[in-house]
Amino acid sequence: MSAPNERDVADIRRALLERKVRQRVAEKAEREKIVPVPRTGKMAIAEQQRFLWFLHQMVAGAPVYNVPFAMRLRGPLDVPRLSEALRGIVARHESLRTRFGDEHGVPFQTVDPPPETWELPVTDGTEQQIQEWIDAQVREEFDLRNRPPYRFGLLRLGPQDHVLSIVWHHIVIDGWSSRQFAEELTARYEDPQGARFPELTLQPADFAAWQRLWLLSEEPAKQIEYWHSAVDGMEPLEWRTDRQRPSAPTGAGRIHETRLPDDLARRIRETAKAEGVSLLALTMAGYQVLLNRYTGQEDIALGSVLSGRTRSEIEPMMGFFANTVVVRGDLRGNPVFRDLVHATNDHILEAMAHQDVPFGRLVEELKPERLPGRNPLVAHLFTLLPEPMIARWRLPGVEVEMLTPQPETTRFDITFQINDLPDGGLGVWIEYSSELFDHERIERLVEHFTTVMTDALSRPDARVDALDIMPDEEYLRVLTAWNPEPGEVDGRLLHELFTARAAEAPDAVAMRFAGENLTYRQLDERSDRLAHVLVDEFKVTPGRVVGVLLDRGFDLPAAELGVLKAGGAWLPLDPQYPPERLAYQLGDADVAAVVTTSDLADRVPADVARLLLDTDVLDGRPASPPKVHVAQEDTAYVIYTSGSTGTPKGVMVPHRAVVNFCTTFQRMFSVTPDDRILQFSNPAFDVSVSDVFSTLTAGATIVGAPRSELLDPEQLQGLLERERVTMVDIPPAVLGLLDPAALDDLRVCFIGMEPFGADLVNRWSKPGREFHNGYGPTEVTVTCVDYLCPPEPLDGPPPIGRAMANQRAYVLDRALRPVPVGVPGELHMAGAGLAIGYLGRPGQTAEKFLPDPFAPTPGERMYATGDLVRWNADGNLEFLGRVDRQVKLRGLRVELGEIEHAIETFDGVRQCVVTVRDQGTPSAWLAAYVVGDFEQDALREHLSGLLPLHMVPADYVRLEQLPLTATGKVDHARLPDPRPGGGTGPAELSTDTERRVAEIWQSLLSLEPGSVGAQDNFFVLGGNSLQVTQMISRVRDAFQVTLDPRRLFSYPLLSQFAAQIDDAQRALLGEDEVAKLEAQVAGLSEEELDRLLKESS
Amino acid sequence: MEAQYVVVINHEEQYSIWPAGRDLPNGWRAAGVESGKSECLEHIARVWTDLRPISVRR
Repeated sequence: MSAPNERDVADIRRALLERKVRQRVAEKAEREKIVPVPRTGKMAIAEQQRFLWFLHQMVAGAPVYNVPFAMRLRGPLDVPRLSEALRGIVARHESLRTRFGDEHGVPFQTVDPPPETWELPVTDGTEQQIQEWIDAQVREEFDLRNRPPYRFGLLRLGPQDHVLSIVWHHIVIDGWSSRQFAEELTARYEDPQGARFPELTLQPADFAAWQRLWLLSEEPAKQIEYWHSAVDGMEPLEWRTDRQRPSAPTGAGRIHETRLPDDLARRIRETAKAEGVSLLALTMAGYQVLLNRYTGQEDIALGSVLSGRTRSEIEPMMGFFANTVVVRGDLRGNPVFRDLVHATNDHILEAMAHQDVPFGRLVEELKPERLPGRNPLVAHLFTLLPEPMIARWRLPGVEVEMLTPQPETTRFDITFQINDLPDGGLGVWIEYSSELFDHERIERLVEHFTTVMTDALSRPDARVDALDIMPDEEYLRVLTAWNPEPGEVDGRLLHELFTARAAEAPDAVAMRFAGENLTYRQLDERSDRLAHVLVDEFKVTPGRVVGVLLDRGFDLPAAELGVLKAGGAWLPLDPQYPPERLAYQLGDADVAAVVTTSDLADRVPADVARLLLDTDVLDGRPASPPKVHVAQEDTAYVIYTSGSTGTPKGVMVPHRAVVNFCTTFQRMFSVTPDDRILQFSNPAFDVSVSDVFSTLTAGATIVGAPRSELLDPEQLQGLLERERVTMVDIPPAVLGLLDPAALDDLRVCFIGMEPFGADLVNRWSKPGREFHNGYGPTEVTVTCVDYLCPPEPLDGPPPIGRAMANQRAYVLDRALRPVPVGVPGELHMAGAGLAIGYLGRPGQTAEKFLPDPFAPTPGERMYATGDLVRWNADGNLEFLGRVDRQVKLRGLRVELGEIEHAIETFDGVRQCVVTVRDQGTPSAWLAAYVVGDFEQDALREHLSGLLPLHMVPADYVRLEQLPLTATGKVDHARLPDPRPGGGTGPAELSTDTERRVAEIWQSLLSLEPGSVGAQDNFFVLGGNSLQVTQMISRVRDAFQVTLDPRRLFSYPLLSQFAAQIDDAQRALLGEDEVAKLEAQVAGLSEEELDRLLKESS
Repeated sequence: MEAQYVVVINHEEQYSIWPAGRDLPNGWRAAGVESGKSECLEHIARVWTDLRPISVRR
């Protein structure tokens, strides 16, 4: 026997090793195989099902997860045979015989034996009842605990005309399985004897048992790790909805079905093939571009549904294995479309390789911020239903026409699904939340998708930024059709319009003040004399600025007109301003002089020339205007506005702009010399320009009053009645304090400056009285956008409307392109209302006054307002807030102005400002600073009904007044700390219920005893959605009441939630019994009370 | 990379800025400066000394 040589030894070792490896792999595969498990009463359910089961609890009976199929069957239908075929399917597949229960918040499944008796319910009906019947079939809730998870039914229209409805709960069957169901139905119907289906050895319960073990292995950890990095820093998609997300959403939805144009479908298929990418990747890339334009976000995270059939054993099963994955599109750096498609294709392949981690598990791992009624992580799906998954419903000898049942529910905010149709076309199936979106919006979504796909395929090497998303008609509509046609402009100067009126009717009353009259002649002559002084003594020339520091009264219009006639521009100064602010403006504007009176003169810095109107300075000056040459582009007035930089800027408004405003105003409101117009606005604001000059250039009468009288609602009411005022332009808050009943002469309310609700309009609008919502920054001259409220009552805040005459409104994205209808963008204004710029600030002027790329004539500018607006479907602009007041709260975009507006609608609140504390940290929270008389809890409740939960401020600080900067803006630095001294310790638990709830939270969330306080928020403490159901279950054990899990989202603070439990317990007993108990307790002495309390504790 | 702009000027010798690489709006010409936004605005602050349209400068 010879010793094996070394070579042989190596071979043997290798062979041995190979055998061992094979063995191990086989053993491992054997261990990992799905095997039958014993059927017991309470079996585990799959993670996909667990998550869906939880969501099913959250929607409390809404048929959100019911999957319907309905079809018209024309021809000789063998009903017993159809019924038998359905029975056969139910008998073969356990999923259709599964019920779901729960123990301590953990769901389990029970499989029932095949049904002993079987009947397909047949109902007689008519053509008109079809839709109603199929809708009713899908809308009925499934009792998953006690009843089968399916519902079959036949509507008999005639002997050879039927409608078949098949509905099941998604928890037992997914899209892939529906195809199997349809095929098995066909085969069994075709040949009840011949069709033999092998008995299944594995069923979904076996998969569920296998999955539990698999989740304990190493593989899921690897996949979860992948998802952690894949969603790292992910920005939730914040598509601005048509309506505010309700605080308690119902899941109401609609289905919209259509087809892409065949030509486009063909090109999509060709391109996908040529590029070697999936149809899903190519279409999703187009959709990413679209959402990038809609939201301005560069990180577009969408959900997509994959089949979950990653193991061959699952394939014959009918069950719910599909899984949602997240696919992120990265549009940073403006990629080339073709590259975006390939990147998306790679992302999808990666997601497919890691699709075994159930989505619910992922959500638990990632703990994203929760919103009631909004799916965690991704609320917006883009998915493709591949051709092999499209169920083909066929019954031999019968013509099948598919019908569309409307469950009227939706699972996500939007699911945009491309159907890979067998005929080569591409279908579009969209399920959307009808609480959030209008139908027109969804139709436009398809239109924009079609446009962007068409453009992208025609030039795949273009950068995504260059692609068109709007069809030409919409482009023209928003830029041209919804802006006024250029109209007539008056080429005169502002004061020339006045002098013409003075010449026509010199004795007409120009102004009423404190019961006295000022005639047009008096005003004309006084302003002439002043102009001479300014020209002669103070060397005023066109472009020079003259300060006007006067209290309300006849002098004010005289001074303003006098400066104009001298060729200068007036700068109104508020006598209430702090001296530093006055000094700053006078210096900044380099005034030639200040027109004032002796009692105010001490406010004027010593080095500034002054002209005192209450002296003899005007005596002996000519009562005719001085000869000066002024052009329409010369500045008529300068008004300071506070800028974001903190230093006020002087806006230079030329004659052209203010003349256009006044003539437009007169036409809009048909102003006549008989009109009496209130002068309410502070003369330092540009609404006063309207009050004074819209009136004087129309020959009408200004009605003025001292400040104190205007600010007292009773006196103001008296003034309006006594003077029979016909038009007012006052802030909505002031109008709200007045009584419309006694103001018969008031024919125009021109209200603006801040947003207001429908109530105000409905209270004031009436036949013979127009109610307008006006909008305008000083840079576009008083008001440039207007909405005339319709005579019928409004049910929401009015829009701000459209551009006024000779002006144009553009809603543009950050790249200065028009945005589609319904998409927020920054309002840009162009046309006759534009100011010249900011006095002495060329840089800031150039930054805000941009070239107008859409102008009908070359070289025009447009002003970037900084206001966020959108077009509604009627072509009216809706005001949404300031572009720069959006903040991020745990990744969610929040418009602080929206919250402030909601707070200000609460009774007793006068003013407020909302700020973010700890911004950029996971514990970021909102603090509201409120001026007024209000109950904090009542205000919080009010807000919970108006705003999504994450927008309801956590803390409320009552202030006497808001701290202001010298420029009149809220001084954020001086807002007090709402939680002085850290304030992080838990608030005391004051009731027994609170203490017991705290114990439940602590044990559920693994927190230290004593760490949970009455003001702690379940979700901030780390509670996730699945723990919500567990918590509800424990609360049921402890308090014998069953709360709707959604309550926790509305009342996440421990004290609030405990109060809900108390309410529920009282409700359980009924009022009478509670009253009896209360009477008993009330009758007890203090000693007895003490004794009883001690006993019970 | 910081977004690039060009300094532009119109027939009234009003200055403004426009995203670099995009077609200039009708009636505007480049004034020879291309840079980041703040550099462009600083340039304008130096050269645009009279904000009034040229037609009314005297």
